Amino acid sequence: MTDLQARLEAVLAEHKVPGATLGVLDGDDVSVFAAGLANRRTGVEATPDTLFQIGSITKVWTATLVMMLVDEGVLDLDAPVVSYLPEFKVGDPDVTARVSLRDLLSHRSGIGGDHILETGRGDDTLERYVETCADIGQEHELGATMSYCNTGFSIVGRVIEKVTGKTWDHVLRERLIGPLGLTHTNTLPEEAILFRAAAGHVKLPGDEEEQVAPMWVLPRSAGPAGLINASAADLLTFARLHLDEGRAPDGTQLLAPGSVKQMQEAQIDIPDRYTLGDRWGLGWILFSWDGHPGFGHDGGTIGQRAYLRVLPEARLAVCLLTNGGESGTAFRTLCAEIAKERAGVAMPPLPEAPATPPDLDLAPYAGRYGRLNVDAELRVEDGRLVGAFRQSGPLAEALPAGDRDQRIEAVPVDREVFVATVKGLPSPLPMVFFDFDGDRPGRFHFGARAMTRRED
Amino acid sequence: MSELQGFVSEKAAELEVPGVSVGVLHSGEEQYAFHGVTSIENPVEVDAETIFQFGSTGKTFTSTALLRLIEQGHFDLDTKVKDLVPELRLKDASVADRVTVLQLTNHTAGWSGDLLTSTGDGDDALARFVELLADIEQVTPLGESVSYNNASLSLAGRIIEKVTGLTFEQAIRELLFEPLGMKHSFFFATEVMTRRFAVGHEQHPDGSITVARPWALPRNAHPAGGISANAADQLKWARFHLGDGTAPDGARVLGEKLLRQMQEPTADMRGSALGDAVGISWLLRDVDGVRLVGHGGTTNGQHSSFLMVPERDFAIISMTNCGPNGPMFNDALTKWALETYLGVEDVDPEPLVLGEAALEEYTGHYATIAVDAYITIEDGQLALRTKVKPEFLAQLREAGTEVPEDEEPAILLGMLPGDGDRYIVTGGPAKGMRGYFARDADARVSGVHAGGRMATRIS
Repeated sequence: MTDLQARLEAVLAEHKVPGATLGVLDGDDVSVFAAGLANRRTGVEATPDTLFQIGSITKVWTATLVMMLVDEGVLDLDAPVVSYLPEFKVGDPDVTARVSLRDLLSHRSGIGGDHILETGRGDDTLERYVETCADIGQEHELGATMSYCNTGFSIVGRVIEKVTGKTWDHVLRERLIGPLGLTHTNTLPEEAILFRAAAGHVKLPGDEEEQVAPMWVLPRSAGPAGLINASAADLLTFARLHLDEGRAPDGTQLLAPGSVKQMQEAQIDIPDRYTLGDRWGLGWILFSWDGHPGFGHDGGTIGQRAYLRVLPEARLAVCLLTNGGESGTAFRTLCAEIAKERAGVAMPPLPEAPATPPDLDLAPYAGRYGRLNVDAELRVEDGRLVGAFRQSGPLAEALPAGDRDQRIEAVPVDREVFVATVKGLPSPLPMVFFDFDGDRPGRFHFGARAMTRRED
Repeated sequence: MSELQGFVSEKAAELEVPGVSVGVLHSGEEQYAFHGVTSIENPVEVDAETIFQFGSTGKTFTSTALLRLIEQGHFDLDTKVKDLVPELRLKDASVADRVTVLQLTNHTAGWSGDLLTSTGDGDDALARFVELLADIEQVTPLGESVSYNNASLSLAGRIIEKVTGLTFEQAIRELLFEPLGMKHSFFFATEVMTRRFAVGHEQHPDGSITVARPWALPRNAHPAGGISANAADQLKWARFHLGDGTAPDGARVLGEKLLRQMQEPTADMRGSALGDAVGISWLLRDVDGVRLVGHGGTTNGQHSSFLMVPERDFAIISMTNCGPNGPMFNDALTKWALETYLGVEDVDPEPLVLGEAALEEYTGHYATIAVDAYITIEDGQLALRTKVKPEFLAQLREAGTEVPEDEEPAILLGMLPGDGDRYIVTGGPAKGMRGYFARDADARVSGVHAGGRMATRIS
């Protein structure tokens, strides 16, 4: 078998990742490998028990908490959120009245997804967050498609708080961290500080190399959407709960088998079926590799990125927790090798730009598109489709001015699928157009988010 | 290797302190010495960048910030707190009406000072903490005697918030850290944790050492001692208080008169664990003909000392990450440094040898909000045993603090010559610590001043 320690070291070096842990669950064997530095400023090395921010993989934990409360009859996935949170309100009154937990857990609510803002470090952070949602507009009609929605998970977190009378952090400790026996998992900086905690690395203007990010953590209001810190082994134990029909390592039934199954069932198709997966379940992203079903999630915070993929037939789970660099490519490389060797499953490659692009009239693709806090303009230049993206809102204001703008160049693979090269990013990303009116697309999907055409 | 580094390495190794950071300011020159590691679980070498929680020396930051606001004309030292925080309620309404800003800074407010309840991590932590003061016992009459008071500093922090419209932490950044160029001083775990930082430890009676949990103090305790910094920033603080009130770049931060006033006695202590008198937050002690001005602090497993000799333009700061050996280290280092750099000898006075009959009147059960203290006679000496109250213990554990089950050894006290029922600790980690017994109007022993707090006699 491949020497994964050596492979990890080589892949991290090749893709300039400061430090990482790689976890593999193969049958019942767990192995964790570590390489590089947890923190370039202090020189502290990454070790197998180093805590990384798992970012949005947190969403699956929050979804699991919801399903535990559904099992107990406390929550109903299809009841309107407003029935639990009478004070809940978004911009569209009809969505306010109808949106359900199921819609939020599968990113199909259409509620503007990147409403990330500081509402304090206090235990009232989610309550205050929900108050700020009253004017958020829709990216698409409720249930029409999916667009990645952080906002929805902070709202779900508040629902959990409301029905339990405890903070989301507390419920997570009480219902998952404790019963799963996780010793290296927590949610607050005050807790993480007593462990070997990785720092994220980013490139600031003028930097040759990535360095420790100026902020360690996102606002606490993003907790249920992405603020868990965990070791690779603990993350694999969590994944195992979803392989073992909801049983903890000590045999305790934490989640009903039916609920585990339901989380892995498709709720909505993902227009861009290449980047992450082709359907969204409850919390989980679902994919099919080579005909084999799988589920997983990614996470990204300020300079830290985490990846988890599970192939239930082979009982194989792979996670990579990283703190900078071209970690996406590093993960795809390692995960493809491990899936092939351990499960005989080929991980499909990302679409590539054809040597000779199809003869396509690009003019109908041009125009202005947008979503909450992001505007994009696509233009045809010298027979190529180029785009300028601009971020706004509180999170963007924390970024250096140059990082608020992104330039892309997209090459068609076919009428729907383009491959976009993003300036400053190492590997191209799929860009998928949909909702066509004749030749004219009404939307495109990029980075799991729907961008909708703005009529002039 | 410098003489300072030699002493630090040898003493820290002898006392088994995991990590130490020391700075000396002598005739304008800075010297540093470092030892050991930040944590026994995740050992990283302590160096010039390493950040320690220095605890209660932070009170002098709160007071200095108050003085800046006074100088800006917002209020005076004698202003009634009630004029600034009208919602203040105390058990004794007349105290709430009368207590002044100065009394918050010199530990003479008289109410139980060790309220440790956490009021959360929100920006409203201090506002909510002030509400809790309504239920706190008044232990000594307002202004009458010094009894160490963390809670009064949190109230002082709330004044700063009210006057500036900022959170306490942001106000301290703007009023002190930024003008004084203190770029390695922080309040929050999220700021500290991407840097090199120390975690606290506890050394148990069997000699084993474990990491103290949790790392952070409740946010409402920030004005009483919630800052973490490296050694160089601690010396910047000393340099400022030894100076004329200007920052290193020449900008005026505080008038020289007010800065000096902080180091003049405002309340007497007749010899206690804290010193002879309190200035404005600074603790004052006269030794071998010179005045020592200092503080120091204790958090969960981190112990620091901070000492200046203004008339000799000298300062020494020490930060350690373990107790109870950290304070022993700090004590030994400070004595050594005073003698080595200044020729000042800090010699403990000799206690009297008294018979049991003479000691009898001091024995009994005493208590503060947090601890019960029992004084008995053992082998002809007064022996003090403290026990954290069960309800206080429950509160600590509720807040996530791991409290060791270790039985605290008895502390032996020797009475000192002269008036005032003064004593000195004659052995163990607290050797040399002083205190005194209080008497009521009938001259009966009514309390014991220990560890800087007045414990009231129960029986």
